[in-house]
Amino acid sequence: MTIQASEVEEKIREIVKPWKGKQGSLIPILQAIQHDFGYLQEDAIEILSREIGIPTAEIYGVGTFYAQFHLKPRGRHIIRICRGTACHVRGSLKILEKVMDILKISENETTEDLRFTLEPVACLGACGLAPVVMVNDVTYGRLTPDSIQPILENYK
Amino acid sequence: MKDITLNIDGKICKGTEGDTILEVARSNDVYIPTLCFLEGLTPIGSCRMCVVEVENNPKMMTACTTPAQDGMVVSTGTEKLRDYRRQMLELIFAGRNHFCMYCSQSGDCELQDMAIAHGMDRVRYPYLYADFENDATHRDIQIDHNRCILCLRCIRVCAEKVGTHTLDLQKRGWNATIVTDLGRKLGESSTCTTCGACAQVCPTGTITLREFAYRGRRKDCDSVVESVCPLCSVGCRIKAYVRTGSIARVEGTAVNEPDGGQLCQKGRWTLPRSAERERISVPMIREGSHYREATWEEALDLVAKQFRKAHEADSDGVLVSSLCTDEELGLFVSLFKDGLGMERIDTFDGDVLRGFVKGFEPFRKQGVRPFTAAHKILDSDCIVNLSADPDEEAPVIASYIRVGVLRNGASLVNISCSPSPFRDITDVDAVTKTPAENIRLIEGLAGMVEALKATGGDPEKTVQVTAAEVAEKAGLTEEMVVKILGSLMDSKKPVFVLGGCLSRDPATVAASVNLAIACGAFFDDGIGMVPLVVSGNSLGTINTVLADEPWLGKKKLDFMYVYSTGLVPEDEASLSAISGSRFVVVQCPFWAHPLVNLADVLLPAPAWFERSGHYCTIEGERRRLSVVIPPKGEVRGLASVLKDLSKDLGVTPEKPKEAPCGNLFASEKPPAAARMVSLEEVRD
Amino acid sequence: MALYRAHVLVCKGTGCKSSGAAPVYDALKEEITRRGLDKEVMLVETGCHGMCEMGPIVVVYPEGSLYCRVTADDVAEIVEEHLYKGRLVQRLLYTTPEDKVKIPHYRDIPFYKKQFRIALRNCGYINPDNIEEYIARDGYVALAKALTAMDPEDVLAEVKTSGLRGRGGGGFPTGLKWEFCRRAKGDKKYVICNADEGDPGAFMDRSILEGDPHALIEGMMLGAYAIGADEGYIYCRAEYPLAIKRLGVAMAQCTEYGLLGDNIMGTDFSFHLHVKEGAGAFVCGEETALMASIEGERGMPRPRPPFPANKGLWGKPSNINNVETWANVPSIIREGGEWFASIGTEKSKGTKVFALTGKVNNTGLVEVPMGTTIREIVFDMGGGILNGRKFKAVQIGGPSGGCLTEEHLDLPVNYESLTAAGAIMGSGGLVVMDEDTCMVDVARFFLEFTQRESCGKCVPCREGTKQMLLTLEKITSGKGKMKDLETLEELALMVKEMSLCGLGQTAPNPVLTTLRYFRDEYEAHIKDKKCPAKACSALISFVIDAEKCRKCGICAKNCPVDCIAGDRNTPYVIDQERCIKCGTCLEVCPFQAVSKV
Repeated sequence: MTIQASEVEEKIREIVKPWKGKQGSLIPILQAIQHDFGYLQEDAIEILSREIGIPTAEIYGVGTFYAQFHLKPRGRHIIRICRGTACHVRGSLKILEKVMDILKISENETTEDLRFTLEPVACLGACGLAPVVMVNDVTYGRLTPDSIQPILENYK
Repeated sequence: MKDITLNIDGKICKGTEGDTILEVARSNDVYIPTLCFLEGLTPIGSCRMCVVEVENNPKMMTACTTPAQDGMVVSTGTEKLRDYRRQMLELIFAGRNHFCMYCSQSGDCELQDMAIAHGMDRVRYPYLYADFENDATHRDIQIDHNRCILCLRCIRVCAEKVGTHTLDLQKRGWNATIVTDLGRKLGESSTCTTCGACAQVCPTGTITLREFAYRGRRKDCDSVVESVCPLCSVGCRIKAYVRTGSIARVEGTAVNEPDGGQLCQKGRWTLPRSAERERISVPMIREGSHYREATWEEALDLVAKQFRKAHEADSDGVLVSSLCTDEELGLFVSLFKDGLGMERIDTFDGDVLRGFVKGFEPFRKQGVRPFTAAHKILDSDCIVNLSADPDEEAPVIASYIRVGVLRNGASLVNISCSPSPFRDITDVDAVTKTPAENIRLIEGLAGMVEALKATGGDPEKTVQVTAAEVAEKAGLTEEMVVKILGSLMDSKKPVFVLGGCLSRDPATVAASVNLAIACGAFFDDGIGMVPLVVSGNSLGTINTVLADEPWLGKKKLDFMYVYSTGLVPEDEASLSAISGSRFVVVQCPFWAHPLVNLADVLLPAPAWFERSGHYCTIEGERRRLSVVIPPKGEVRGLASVLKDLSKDLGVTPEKPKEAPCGNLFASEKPPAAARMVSLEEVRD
Repeated sequence: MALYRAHVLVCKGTGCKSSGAAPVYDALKEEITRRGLDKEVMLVETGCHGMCEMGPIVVVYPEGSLYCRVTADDVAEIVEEHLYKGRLVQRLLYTTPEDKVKIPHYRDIPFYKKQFRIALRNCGYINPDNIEEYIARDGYVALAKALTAMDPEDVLAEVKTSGLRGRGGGGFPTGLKWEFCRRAKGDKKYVICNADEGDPGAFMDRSILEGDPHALIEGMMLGAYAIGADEGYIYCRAEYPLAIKRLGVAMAQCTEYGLLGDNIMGTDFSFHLHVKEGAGAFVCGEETALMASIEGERGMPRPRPPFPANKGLWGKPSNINNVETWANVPSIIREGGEWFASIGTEKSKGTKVFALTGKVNNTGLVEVPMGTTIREIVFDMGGGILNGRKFKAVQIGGPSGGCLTEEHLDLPVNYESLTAAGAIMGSGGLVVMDEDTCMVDVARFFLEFTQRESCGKCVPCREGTKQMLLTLEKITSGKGKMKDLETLEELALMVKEMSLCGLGQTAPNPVLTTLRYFRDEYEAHIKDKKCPAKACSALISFVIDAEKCRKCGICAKNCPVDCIAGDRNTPYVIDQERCIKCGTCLEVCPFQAVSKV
């Protein structure tokens, strides 16, 4: 889904409207933008900067300070690949490489169609099931490079 | 303000209510170490170096932010404080890359000085070898985030003084770093003006100006000379660092000046670079397509001969730079105007100045000063940009405007033939199609504001002109006119920035002053107008070399004497008029092309850093240009050259008159006494 | 209003909701209607009861019977037995962990018996989405009393008399704080509620926000009246969506009833309230950072002075209190400051809500009079240590607090006693630890948290916590040196004194108290390379007792790194070189042959 530039502008204007002239509006506006766009996209911030007269650097500073905000699009599904020791020795690197190969993205990246975001994590605490991958809230264990593909296909 | 007395380290210190502990200490010569603090910027109390102990207060207090109170007993250097400070310094050194021997700022670093002063002979904590980025994408400015101590001075100066707010802080905690715009690299920034203020305030080697690295540490320089930047009408005060006969760097003065001690990209780079430019070192005489060296005697003889001939035929002219000092301008006047009785003498940007002078004249006659010091823009709540492009004409004015809008909450109205140069922060952007529509708009607004104010802003009462009529005449929408009126009527103290191009029509200038008077734009020193006259001493030419009427290009002249400082390029019209003259003498310190190509005789001149004198600036001050590097070799001062020339010409000039600035900045009456005038008065 | 013979209260707090309260509520509704009881039995959604461990909780009045861990499948039985036949459903009643006694009445459960509820008085009793229920429990009586019969000065005096102190951490006297703000020059003033409860393990504020939002709103209005403010902000963390929703409902109802807005109750008093959602930064719990955040900036603390009372939100005099503090105010005005001051100890008046968690039988929220001992809280109300293990320490006050030992069990809890012992009241997190908890690891855990949440503004906190954390990591991984303890202590003291805000000033507390009370554990890690609690994985190893091993091979099959070898004839052995200490073998061994050493 690509949003036209003019649409972004229109949307931002709409979001900003009720806040015009009010103090302290930046964070609620960013929350609304993230809610509508999924993340704080660059062109949206640039338009916002003009609309409310706050420099882009300041908005960026605020956006990166709070844990809630994302400056890059996040996928609809978050894949967390355990990179703990147990999973490592059981071949989690191979799983990671396979996933990167299937999705054509690197660690901490998101697929172009915003289907998946890939996040390696230190340990998921399920060492007995190593190697482990978590997609959203579901944990998959004892994976092989071959078994990961059908799992991902469940997530559209 | 109440006087207060503190006991700091046993010393009785006087201060004023409202001072911080640090201010009282510094004014009483008590040293308190600081890193993040910089006078003129909002104190943030983050480096904790200035922490002091206050009697009966269990908490450690930062001297830079804590208000001093009468009777306070303060200790600044107890054993515990010294220990804590040293510990914090060790932490800073262990945290990021502060290995001095690999840093261009070693020896010129506040952090290093602080560590030495606190006897930090080792670091007890493991080095963390932070792996942040060294952003070398910008041509002139480098940011090595590994050397950053997060004092945030750069962010503050960029936001509070320069007003571009290019820099901010990203992320948090140990991972926080300085960031540009939307997380970009500095070289990709769309807002950075390359003014270099960030580097000037950086206490470490984080932000450096590549060109000045290894050119000489500030404290190793042979001399630091305070002077003035000649490049634009603001005339910023500067500090020039000299090392081994060369200018190692140029910086703005203290940040706590009303103007923020600023320096723009022009001053920061053009001035020191000029010291490296190729000089015209000896007089030259054209022979065909070449120049040959000549003695002063021969050259001046030739000049005098040609001059005399042309003067007799009334076909001579003199064009001098408005970057000359008052004193230099005085020399020209006493020789050419008073001595030879010439009328064809002028400055390059004479047309701009004449426009302003004529437009201001009717108000001058009323005994008021029709303009205010430029930094008063910072006191205004509504800034009106009238056809100015401050980033080009006078970048520090652009900073005032940005800071006024972003930090002081002023509104920004652009009334011009082109879109606002401050696109992102302009509240109302009224672009007229023609200059004629522009003046009609300003005139109409003045009339409406006057009428609205007279009726107490009551729209029910009849106002003679309506917004619709003004809009019609100006080719704008009625909504736009109403918006402008709204901004002007809401403002208690508007200020009007006049672009140089506005002066093409003196009536527009007068109309603008009328509008300012109608709006009640009165500052303590004059009416709220900031005219962007061209260069450092444009104002100084008004009572000296400025011609009453333009003459350049009207007639093909036999002889033209041109004096240029070679710092700013000459305009096309002047160049073409010069090239149309039969015999041209160019006196200039540098091989400034294309001007020097037009000369039949080239005479050397002292460069800006070899001269001294005074400038009349639009900051409303007469500022002193000082000799930064004494002239070497054959470079002769203007007075001595003109003396020889006058001898050859057979005139004995009078001593130059006193400097003209005083009466320019003076006024008999307060600005509020000003009355609007009929534009016909100007148009005549 | 119709009269009902019975009320069925279903907790819909976040705790019970996540353990499945919604289907229980739906099933109850369906069953009650199906059985035609909907005219005589009223079903009510309530806020948190505090005993989240036992959720979903259903309470039936008039008997006051509390059913634990109710599922939708239990509903038919509850309706049939209790509502029809008047017989308690024994199997769902609360059972004491030690002697397995079933307790039929809510008030007799040890967890509630010793509680004294002021801040939580309505939580679990009323439907938070219905202002009428709050009003029925004397809600807005205090406001009416203040607006019609008291001057702002009287309200202030009453709060001062009560001796109420800030419940968010520092324990600053609330009345005095209000007075500073009241006396500050300025025509515009703000009251702010700090609902950015971020301490791991603390959820009393959420419970009040979700269970009794009107108490907070009324408290803030009383404060605004006393201070002379006409506008308020509630800064609530975005992680509490239910709280934000309920606040919205409550505020809308107030507006509808003329309790918010201009000329409240026909008086000159006007008050406008806004909710600001936090965006995920622990440091915003600090007053000045919170204000920076409301103003739309990075939530970085500002140096004091100027104090918020003089120059707070947008430079105007502002007063910030946390949720629990505000929620105490209506009761104080209604019942009088003297009444409140009669509860608690000499310097710490009233009650305090604690979030009791960790290795304790009954986890949840308890509100007790100040001066209650830790023993009473942990053993009487908390029902003692989980699995009958030995008590080791309590961590009080969240990441800013400290660890107290067995010798402090009889310490009456109040602001002074806790501070003297090296902990703080904090927001009231109370984590119980048993002998399996490594105190060095606890210190590391909390420091990891504060270090991650440090805003990075000041040097001591930004750089100091980082170095302290590294040192602790070094120690827990067995690479520590005795000299590190010295460095650690020195750093901790410096960071505590020199940091700009409360976060940095209290971050070293867990380190300092564990160093003070559990130095031997640190030394064991360093000198003996042993973790006495066997919690630090770098310092332990798993071994198989050859005697106990039945050679089943389950451990080897489950080992993620295949480092266990053996067969039908030889007992299994763990290759220590390759073992990653995941503990799987210990978990799976059916014969307890694997042990940690």
